[in-house]
Amino acid sequence: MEPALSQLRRGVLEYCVLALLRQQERYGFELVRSLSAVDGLVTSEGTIYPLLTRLRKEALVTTFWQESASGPPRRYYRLTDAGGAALASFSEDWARFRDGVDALLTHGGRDDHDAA
Amino acid sequence: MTTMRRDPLVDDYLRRLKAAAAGLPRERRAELVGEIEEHVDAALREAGTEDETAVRNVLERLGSPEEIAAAARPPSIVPERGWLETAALIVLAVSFLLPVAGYLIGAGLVPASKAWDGREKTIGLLIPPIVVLAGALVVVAAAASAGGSTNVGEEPSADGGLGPLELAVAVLSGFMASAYLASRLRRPTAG
Repeated sequence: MEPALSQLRRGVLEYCVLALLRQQERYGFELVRSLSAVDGLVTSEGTIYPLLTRLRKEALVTTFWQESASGPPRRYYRLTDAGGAALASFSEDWARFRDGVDALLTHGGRDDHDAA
Repeated sequence: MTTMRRDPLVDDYLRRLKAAAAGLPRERRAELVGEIEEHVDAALREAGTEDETAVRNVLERLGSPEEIAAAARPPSIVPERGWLETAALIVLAVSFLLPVAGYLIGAGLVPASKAWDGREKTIGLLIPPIVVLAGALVVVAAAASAGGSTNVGEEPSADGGLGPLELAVAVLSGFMASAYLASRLRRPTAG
């Protein structure tokens, strides 16, 4: 496993969870599968559950139980106002960070008079 | 909750998870195991089969139970020296000033610390009794070889004072415990 990638992953994963919850409430398994679908984001699906617990403790998400058509009731996750604010702030930081790193990677840090 | 018959592989996996998560608060551990259990059930329902390959796939994607338990532990149990550890080290180092009580106070402080794990605490607190015991054997042996002469193996409890050998043992016992425990602090944060 590549250390740089695993560190990036660790920093970014919780915001990906928050982003998945921005439009709708989701249950744990659904979140895990959506995150797993992103290449390179999740190496061990099981470690997402402790992350969800931490987000709940930090009051970025809340949980509730809901009956399911198939099988036992599911624990759903919902974004809180604090979670939405954290996500918005991260989205801004991420855009700046991504653009800056992209510029370095593609232009090698050359002065971007003509690049940009 | 679920009434599905379980693949022994799943049972084994959940058992390993429970064991690996033994350090978590009971409620938190039960919740974690429940979530993983639920995940396995949902994944197998999705797969539409419960044959061994499907089960193995689901468990492999989950990662090892040890990895999951590690992710559930609070991130910073970095052994650091706080006032508690400092107090315990000092009390143990000078415990010869209050021969038995000094050790007992140290033995009361050390278990409360989170900077040492159980094994380190046990070793640290066993050092003084072992050193004292070894010292006592030396004293007895010396007394025996001196043919009953009272000079070497003088009874410390007779007048409450300590002979030079007893004093050395008392100083050494506390000092060694303190030195050992100090050496276990601020180790690299590997685990």
